[in-house]
Amino acid sequence: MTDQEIINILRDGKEDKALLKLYKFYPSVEYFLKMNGASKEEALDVYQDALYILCKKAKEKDFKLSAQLSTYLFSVSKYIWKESLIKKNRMVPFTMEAHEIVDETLIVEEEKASVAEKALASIGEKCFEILKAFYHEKLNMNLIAEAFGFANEKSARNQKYKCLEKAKSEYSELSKSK
Amino acid sequence: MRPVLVEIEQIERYLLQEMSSDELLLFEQELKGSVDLQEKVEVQKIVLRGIDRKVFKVAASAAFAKGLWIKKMWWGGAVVATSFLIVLVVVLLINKTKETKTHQPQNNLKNEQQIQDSIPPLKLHLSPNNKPHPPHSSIRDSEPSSDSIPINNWQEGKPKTEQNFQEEIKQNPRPTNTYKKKYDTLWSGQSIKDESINIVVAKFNASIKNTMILLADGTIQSDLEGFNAKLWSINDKKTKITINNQVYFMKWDSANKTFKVKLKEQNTSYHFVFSAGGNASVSSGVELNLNIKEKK
Repeated sequence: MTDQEIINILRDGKEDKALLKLYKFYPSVEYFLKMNGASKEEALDVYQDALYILCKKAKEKDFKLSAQLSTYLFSVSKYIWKESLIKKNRMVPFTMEAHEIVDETLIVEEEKASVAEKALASIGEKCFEILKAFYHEKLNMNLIAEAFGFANEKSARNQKYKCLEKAKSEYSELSKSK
Repeated sequence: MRPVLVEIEQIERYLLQEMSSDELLLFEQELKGSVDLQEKVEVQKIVLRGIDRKVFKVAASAAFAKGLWIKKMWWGGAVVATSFLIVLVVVLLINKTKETKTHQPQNNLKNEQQIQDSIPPLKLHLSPNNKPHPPHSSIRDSEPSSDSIPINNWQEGKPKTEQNFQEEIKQNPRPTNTYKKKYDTLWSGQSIKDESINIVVAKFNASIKNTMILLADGTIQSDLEGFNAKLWSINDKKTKITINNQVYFMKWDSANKTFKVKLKEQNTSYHFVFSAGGNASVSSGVELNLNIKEKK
């Protein structure tokens, strides 16, 4: 399967199928990250961040693949790991090559989203599932009320806002501590 | 100040691009003038992205696990297939070794005489006129028994001459189903009693020199086509016969070209292997699977 075909699959919303293909580039990234101080878990986490960025970029209308997917994912992973090392006040034992320049703005945004992701881990499973059902699965509030056992749509909506507020609050707390 | 829920909902509709153009215009104007609102929008935007990201990570982890599973299954399958092949090769080698040993009686049987003494079930003679044989003659008797008949008399009703037999063989130089049908006819009148069976080995001029074709009573199921690959010569001195993995020695009756074997059980599949003794470079035998049934 060519790189462009994988991008097309991502654009079609078949992320699961594309991800299976995209993991074939992981071993070289994992090797590099491990050689530069990452644990196995950290390496996988970094690569998944890079995959997420690729998936978001691929869905942009004006996105054009300027390098091979493997190179793109390697560069983004390398950059994310570099930023991670800098934040931890650890030495960066490698340099970014000229051709490896990535969209830093996007990666900064992703860092914030990463904090939000951690915040969402602390709001409780049910709260997250409600937010997921509404924002990701695009279910209407009537269905959510039925699925989660709320008396009516209004109760479900109130609960959703409470969960969102809780997530925002947790995020703000985590952001301050960073 | 507007209620909190209304504000959250407004930000949400702004981020999800659900506002009408008029509403959007008003909201954007308000956004420009309020740092507090800008911060709220930014936080809500990041949280929504966090939800998306968290959902993505779950899917990515599942894909990673699936990829690992597929990889493991592939390797597992490869290991199983390789193991199976190894086992198959070993089994084939063992079988080949056993077969080779079967055709080398001197190497495996220390005392041939002892073995010959222990073969009461094997009888050597030919059924005369389609009558059953009493299982008494010794397998070690090399002389034709009085009730034996020569090969050219193997016919139903009228005798078949050696000349006719040879002509048939010339027309069909290799053992085929055609032969099987002829012999089936030949033996159609025979019956088996006393759980005995006549096995007749006929020598003929086939394209493979000095080969023997093992023929059986009409009640024996055999596939003559399969013989081609398994024909060996049998010399006229010592012949080893293996029945269901049990080895016996018997003399080949060159005059009658017959063996008589008494089998203990009916409706049983017997595996026969005939092989020559003596000079192994010349020989070895005929192999056949026989299904013995009593003929009504």
